[in-house]
Amino acid sequence: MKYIFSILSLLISASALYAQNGGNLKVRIKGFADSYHAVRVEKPNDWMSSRTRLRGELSLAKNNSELFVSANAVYNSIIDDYSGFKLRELFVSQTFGSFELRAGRQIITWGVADALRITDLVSPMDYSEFLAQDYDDIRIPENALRLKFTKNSFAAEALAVPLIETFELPTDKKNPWAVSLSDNDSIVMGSKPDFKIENMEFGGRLSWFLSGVDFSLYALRTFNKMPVFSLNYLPEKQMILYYDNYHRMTMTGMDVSVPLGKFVFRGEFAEYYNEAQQPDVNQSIVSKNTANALLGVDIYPGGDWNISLQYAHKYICNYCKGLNSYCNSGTATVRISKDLFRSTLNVNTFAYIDVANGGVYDRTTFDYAVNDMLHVALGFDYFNADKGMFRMYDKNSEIFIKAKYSF
Amino acid sequence: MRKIMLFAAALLAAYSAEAQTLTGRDIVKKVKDNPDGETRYAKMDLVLEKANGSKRERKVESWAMDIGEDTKTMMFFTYPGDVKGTGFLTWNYDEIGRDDDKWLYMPALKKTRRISGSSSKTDYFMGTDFTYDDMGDRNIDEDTHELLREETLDGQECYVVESVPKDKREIYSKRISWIRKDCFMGMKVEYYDKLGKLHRVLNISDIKQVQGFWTRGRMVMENVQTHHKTIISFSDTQYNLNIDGDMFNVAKLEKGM
Repeated sequence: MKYIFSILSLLISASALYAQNGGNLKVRIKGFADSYHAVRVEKPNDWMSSRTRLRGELSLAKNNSELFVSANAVYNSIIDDYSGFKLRELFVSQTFGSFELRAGRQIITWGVADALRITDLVSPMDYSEFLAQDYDDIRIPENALRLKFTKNSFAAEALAVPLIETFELPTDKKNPWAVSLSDNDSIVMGSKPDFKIENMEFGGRLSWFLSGVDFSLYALRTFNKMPVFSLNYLPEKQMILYYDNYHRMTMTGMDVSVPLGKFVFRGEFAEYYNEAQQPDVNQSIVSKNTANALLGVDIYPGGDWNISLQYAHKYICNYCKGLNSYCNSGTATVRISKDLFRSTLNVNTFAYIDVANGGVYDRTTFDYAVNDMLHVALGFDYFNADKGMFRMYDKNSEIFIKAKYSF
Repeated sequence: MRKIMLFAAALLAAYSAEAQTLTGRDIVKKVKDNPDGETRYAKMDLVLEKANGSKRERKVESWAMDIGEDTKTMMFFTYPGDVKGTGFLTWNYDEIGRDDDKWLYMPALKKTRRISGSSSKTDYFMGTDFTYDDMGDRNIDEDTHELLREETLDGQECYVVESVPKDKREIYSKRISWIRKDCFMGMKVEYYDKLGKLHRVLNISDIKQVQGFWTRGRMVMENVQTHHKTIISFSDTQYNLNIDGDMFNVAKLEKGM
C-alpha cells in the first residue's frame, strides 16, 4: 500500500511532463556508493554492522513541474532482510505562481532542533541501527500531499498524510541493535494505523524568515509514531509479550532562530495533547498532555570550529503511577566540529546525554576527503548507561570505518 | 575645429584635475560603484591547488540582486557530488556593524539552518584561499585608504592604493591594490599578515565588457607563504536578468536551482 501513492505520483508526473510543450527538460542525477563496517570493542568483538549501498537520485524538471526519485540498493551481510532495493522518495511537484503542490513519498523536516524531535514529528525514524547511522539516513519518508505558499519572507505549508509511517525498530534478534529482551520475551508488531480517512495525519506550518529572526508556528493531528508497548506478563510461560500501540495525538508548537554575533540561538516549544505514555507491566496505556521544549545555541568562534549545544525537556501533565517514564525528563546534545587541512579533514563529535538517567551516547568521526569524490571516515561510538534509553546498548560501543564515493 | 580643440582641452583639464584630486577612498569607492547591473548571474569554477600540484575542484552557480546599497545572493554548489545541491542564501548589508543574514540549506537533511552572519568573515571559504570577507561586499569605510602612487601593470595604467583595516581583529594588516585607471577594476591585490609580511596575492585577469559591464573572468589567489592557490574562473556571466526579488528567500533556497 505504501508505494501506491508514489506510483500514482509517478504516473501523474510523467503525464504532466509529457503534456507540457516548450521548455527544456532539466535532468539532474546524483548519488553515492558507500560501504560501512563496525566492530564491537567489547567481547565477543563481533560485527555490529556491515553494509554496502548504492544511492541514486534523479530529478526531471520541465517548466513548473518536477519529478524526483531517490532509491537505495543495499547489501547487508548481517541482516538479510535489510538487503535489496528500497525506494526512498518518489514525488512530483507542480508550481503555480506562489503555490507549490508536492505529492508522493517524501521526507518532511520541521523545526530548528538538531537530531532531537520537538515539532519535527512528521517523518519518523529508522532505528534499525539505533542512532549509529548518519542522521540523514535515519528519516523515513511519508506518503504525503503538501501545499506550500511563499511570498517574500513568509511561507505557509499544509500537509496531509493518508497512510502514516511509523518508527522502524530492530526486533530481529540477529541484529546487534535489536531491542534487547530476555530470551522468553517477545515483541508482537502489527498495530500500525490502517488506511482510513479517520487515520489521516494532517497539519500545517506558518513561517517567517526575517532579518535577524526566523520563527514558525505549527499544528499537527498525528499519532505517536514511536510505538508505546503494552506489556502483558504471562505467568504460565514466565514471559512478557510486547504489543505495539499507536494513538491519536495533536501537536501545536513554535520555533525560533535568532543570530546574535557569533551565536545563533534556537528554540522550540510544543504541546502534545493526549500523547500515549509507555506503561509498566500489566498496566494499561494512558494518554497525557505533555509540554516539550528545546533551547539550543550554535557557536561560530572562527578558525573552522563549530560548537552546538542543546537541551530538550519533557514534562508530563497530570502525572500518575503506572507510567514507565519520569514526570520531568531531559536530553542534552553537544556537537563539536573542526575542519582541518583546508577542509580536507573534518573531526566531529556528537553526544546525546540522557540527563534524567545519566546515560551517554557519543559518536566521534574523523572524515578525510581523499579527493573530490571519495571520503574515508573512521570513528568510534561510545555508550555508557546504567538505565534509560541507552541502557540496552551499554555493550554496543564500536569502532567503524566508512568509505563513500559521491557522484 | 577651434570649438573641438577647446572641448578636448577642457576634457583633458577636467580629467587631470580629477586624477590630481582623487583620494584613495575615492578610487576604492569608484571600484565599488562600478556598474554591475541590478541583478547578476555567473557560474564559478574553483580549483584549489596545493604546492605539490594536487588539485580539488568546486563548482558553484550564483545569483545576486542589489537592493539599494545592500545585496541579496543565492548560491548553489553543483560539484563535487557530496556537496551538490547545498545552498547559501545571504542578505548582505552595507551598514557597518550590521551582521548579514545567512541561511544554509543541506539537501541530505532536507533542512535549512540559520547560520551566523558575522563569524565567518575571517575564515577561509570552503578550503579556498579566499576568506568569506573576500567573497562578500566589504564596506569601504571598514578600511582607511591611501593612494600610494600610479604605475603601469601588464600594460595598464593603474592607481596603487593601500587599505588598512580599522578593526585590528582582521586577519591581515593591510592590502595594496592595483586598480585600472580606465575602468576602475582591480588587477592585483597584495594581502599582508599581522607581521607585515606578504601573505596572499590576488591576480585578476581576463577583464572584459559583458553587456556593457566590466567583468572579471579569472581570479588567482595564492598564499605565498604556503604556495597553496585558488583559481576562480567565471563563465556565462549575465547582468540585469529578469529575476523576481522573491527569489532570494528560504523557500526558494529549499526548492533548489
